[in-house]
Amino acid sequence: MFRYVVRRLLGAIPMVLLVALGLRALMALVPGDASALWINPDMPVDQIAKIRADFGLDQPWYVQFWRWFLNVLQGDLGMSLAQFKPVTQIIGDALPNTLLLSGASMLVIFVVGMTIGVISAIKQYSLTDNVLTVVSFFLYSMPGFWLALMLILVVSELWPSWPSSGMVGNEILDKVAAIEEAKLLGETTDVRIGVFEKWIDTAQHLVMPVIALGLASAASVARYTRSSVLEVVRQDYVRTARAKGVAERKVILRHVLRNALLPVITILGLMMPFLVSGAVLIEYVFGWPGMGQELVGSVTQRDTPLLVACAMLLSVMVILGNLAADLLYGFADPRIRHD
Amino acid sequence: MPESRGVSRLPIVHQLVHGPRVIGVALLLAFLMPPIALVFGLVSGSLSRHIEAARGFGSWILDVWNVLAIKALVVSPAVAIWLGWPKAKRPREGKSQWTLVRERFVRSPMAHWGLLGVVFLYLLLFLAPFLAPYGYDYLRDPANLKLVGPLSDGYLLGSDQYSRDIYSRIIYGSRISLTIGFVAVGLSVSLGLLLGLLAGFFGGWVDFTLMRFVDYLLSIPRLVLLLVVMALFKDVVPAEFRVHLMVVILGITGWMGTCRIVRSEVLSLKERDFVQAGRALGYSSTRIMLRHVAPNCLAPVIVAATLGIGATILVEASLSFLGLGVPEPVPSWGKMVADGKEYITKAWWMTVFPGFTIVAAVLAFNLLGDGLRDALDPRSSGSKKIRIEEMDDEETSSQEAA
Amino acid sequence: MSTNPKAVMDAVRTSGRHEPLLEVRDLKKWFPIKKGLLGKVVGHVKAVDGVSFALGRGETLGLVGESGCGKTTVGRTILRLIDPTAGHVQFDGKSVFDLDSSHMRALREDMQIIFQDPYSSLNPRMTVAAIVGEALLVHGIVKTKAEARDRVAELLERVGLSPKYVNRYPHEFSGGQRQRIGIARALAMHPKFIVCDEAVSALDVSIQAQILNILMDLQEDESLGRPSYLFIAHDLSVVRHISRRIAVMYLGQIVELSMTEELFDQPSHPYTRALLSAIPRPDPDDKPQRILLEGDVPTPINPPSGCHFHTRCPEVMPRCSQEEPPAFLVSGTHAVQCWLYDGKAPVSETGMTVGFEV
Repeated sequence: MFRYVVRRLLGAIPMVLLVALGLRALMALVPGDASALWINPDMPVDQIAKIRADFGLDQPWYVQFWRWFLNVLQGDLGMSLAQFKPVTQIIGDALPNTLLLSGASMLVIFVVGMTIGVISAIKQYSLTDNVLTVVSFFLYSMPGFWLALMLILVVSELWPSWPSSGMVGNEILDKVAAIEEAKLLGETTDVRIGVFEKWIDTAQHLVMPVIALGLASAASVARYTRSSVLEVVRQDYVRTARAKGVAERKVILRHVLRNALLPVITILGLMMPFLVSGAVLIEYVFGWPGMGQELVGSVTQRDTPLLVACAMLLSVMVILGNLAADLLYGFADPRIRHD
Repeated sequence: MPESRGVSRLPIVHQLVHGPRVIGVALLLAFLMPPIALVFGLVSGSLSRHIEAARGFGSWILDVWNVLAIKALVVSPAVAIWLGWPKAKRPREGKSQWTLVRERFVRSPMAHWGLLGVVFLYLLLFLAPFLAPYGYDYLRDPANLKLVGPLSDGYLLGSDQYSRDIYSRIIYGSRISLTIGFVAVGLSVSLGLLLGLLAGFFGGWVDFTLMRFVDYLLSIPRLVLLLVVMALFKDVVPAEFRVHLMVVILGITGWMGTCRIVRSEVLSLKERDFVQAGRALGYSSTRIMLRHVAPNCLAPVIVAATLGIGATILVEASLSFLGLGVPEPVPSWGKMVADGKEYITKAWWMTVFPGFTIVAAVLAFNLLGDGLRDALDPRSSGSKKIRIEEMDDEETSSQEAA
Repeated sequence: MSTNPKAVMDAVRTSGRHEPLLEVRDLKKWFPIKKGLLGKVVGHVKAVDGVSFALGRGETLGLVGESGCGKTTVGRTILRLIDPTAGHVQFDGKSVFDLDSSHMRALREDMQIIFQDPYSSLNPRMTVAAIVGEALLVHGIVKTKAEARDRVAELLERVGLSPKYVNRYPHEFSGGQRQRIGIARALAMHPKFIVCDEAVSALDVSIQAQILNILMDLQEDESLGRPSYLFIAHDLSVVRHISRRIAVMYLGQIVELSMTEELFDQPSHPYTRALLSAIPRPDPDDKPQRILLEGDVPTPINPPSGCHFHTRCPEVMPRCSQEEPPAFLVSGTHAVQCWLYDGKAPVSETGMTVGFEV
């Protein structure tokens, strides 16, 4: 088992490096002045010189690649052209938000998806099942950004007070501004932002993006679970359990679910790219300050270093997600565990 | 030949009377296509107006279909007569696999809806100039741009901020989405089929490297890669060719799924005895690969292609939504939703209708693909039934008894 | 039958008429077992571990053994559908394993195979005409599709199918009919040698009889060149019906080879005796002594030392686990690989290649 883990980890590393190199190569393919991609003429002069040196922009391409690579390994991803901040810093601020959004969505996807799938399977061909099937087909065919916009439309009509964009509410923003102001003026203030208060605020802002991001994938998980459960239920060992007189609920919980839910974990890995792509769109629509929004922003602002760095990190998220799914599967499937 | 008297000896009428009703109706519609289109065009007033529609960058997709549509319209009555010509029922020549598939397909209602949906979409694509009351870029009153809601002022589904008709733009948008989807998927499926055959058939290091390459490409989310490419090359490529670039990149990023599917089919087929028989009979590897293995792989490829068109429509819509897709003034459903984003509370129709069309189109392809998948899945009980039915020949039963 | 084996051997070898069509000498096929990331070879499955026999023209040799003894692998390796690990196969005067690919392709016209599973041995997407006739076109035996179709119709009639079925697809036929199509396909190029790899095992008993009779009739037909069969099966009573001689296989080796009736009258190897005692008899009063073999079948990855059968043999001796026995000639047409005959019968100089004369 340990060897399985190690093997998988070792396999992931070259993949990450190759992705980074591939994206960097794309940058190199763009015709025109290379330094225009890295250097904004409005930047302070010493910054320009530093970037020139760090990334070897006046040198032949293989030197450029090598220096860039070394920098990336050390954590230096360049300077954002539009925001005049190190890219690493921007990503460092944005990444946790994206992880929060994706993580919460993943949870919702699997809990909701699996539950609906199991219910659908148990009540096969009933009205509930048919309705759920139709609904999941619809959701599965829906573009994420449209679902997001529809949600915003509906919610802003029905519950105007519910936040439908951003991650932080106005009240907390005001408090933050007040605290900053006090700091600048050197005064003390008794404005406090409670931890609980912050959590609730974030959770409120999370609800709509998570629903928008998770619903379509939850639908496909539900369908997959349904067919998996149906396949397991037909097996002879389930029939044996029933014939032995085991209560139906126990039959389902102990025999059916354990075997049916296992293959569903495999699609966790397959879903990662969709989740990440979806997150980009959802963050854009809801103004959620994560990697996706930075990515889209960098496009409109022609901020190439940030663009490529975001793309790179999103791919790393996919690779790590696949890795986690593989490890989880290896842990759950006794056949692999005892390899 | 069944007795046909009088009227039922006429081409299409014959089908209506004798054959499956659906075919008869379809042929009838095909025959009546020109007058139907004419009536539509006159009633909606589009015939006169579409001539005035403005042309813009990247609109070659829109114009090409006009030419093809005219040709198709002229030809369709002739085709209907030819197909509908009464023929003597041929001595049954052996039900191929495709006949079996068609029979299974007929049984699923959802697959039906999917097929109808897809056919309807392609009708929209062809007949856009006749069905759309205004051009996709038509400004009724350039001096007085205004935004109006559905069912008002001659706009069926409302207008956008440049007072272009949403309904017409949606219809023309079908040309964009479907053409891009079709071409991109054609590209990626061909690539995937070829590479999957090579990987599965030759195995060894060819297979190994190809699969590692596939894993690598799958690590980068498709939308992210497309974003990067379109953004990097946006200024380099003139606007006309943005669509070409998008189609090519969509094709290059979509072949991996098909490749895996084909490869696993080939691997399982390689062990089947009829492939071994081919080797024993001295057939070359190429021959076995192309004439024996490949045709048996086609079923999952067709399913993947159909579902792929749906997925491609979604990706294209997402790209256009972010502003990196088709250029102005070409109407893409995704771009229309993007235009409506700012006005979402004031003019909900700008986002709701185009978005809903995306859902409907993708849904149609998904249902069709799902139905095809069920129909192509060989269920042994189904085929056995047919075999026993064939065994009513005298020769067969007497030989078995001998 | 002369009891002097050497004399028999000499007589056989000098009369050129009796050159064997097929001579297999010490054929071995070991499948490597790979483990780990880099596919390190950690062992071998010794599916075929030294098989020798000879086959005359127009003759049927039955090859029997339990599942996993390697008989299917023998058939496929002789045809070079699987690459051999060691050994020598002489077919029609040519050394099969030394041929290059173009000569091999030409040779394939003369050696064919009929498969066990009628449901996977025919390409579901091709018509019967295409399946049977493709070889004719590929090898240039006919020039046009029309000619091919005529030949296919002939062949179908030979195997007892109506020629009007040429345009049908495999899924429209029953198992027995599909097997006939497979036979027609194998016959298309008038091969001199056909491997029947469990050709009837997957069929109903009544159909088995029909197919066996077809095979035997085809062998009598002069116009088809009187092919030889290597009939691989696990059912002794089926093999008895069609074979002139029978070879018994155990764990990758032939343990006994003899003329058919001689094998049933005088089973010499303990394994053969156990097999024969297990054949069900229709007479309920005839209850023979069943010889039950003790122990599990050993794995071909690590076969037992010496005689492979010694772990289960009811008549095992100490010598059996130490040395592999040579082939002893019980008669001019009957060879056994068992230490029980040491001293009682002469050692065969040519191993198991005995008694193929037609």
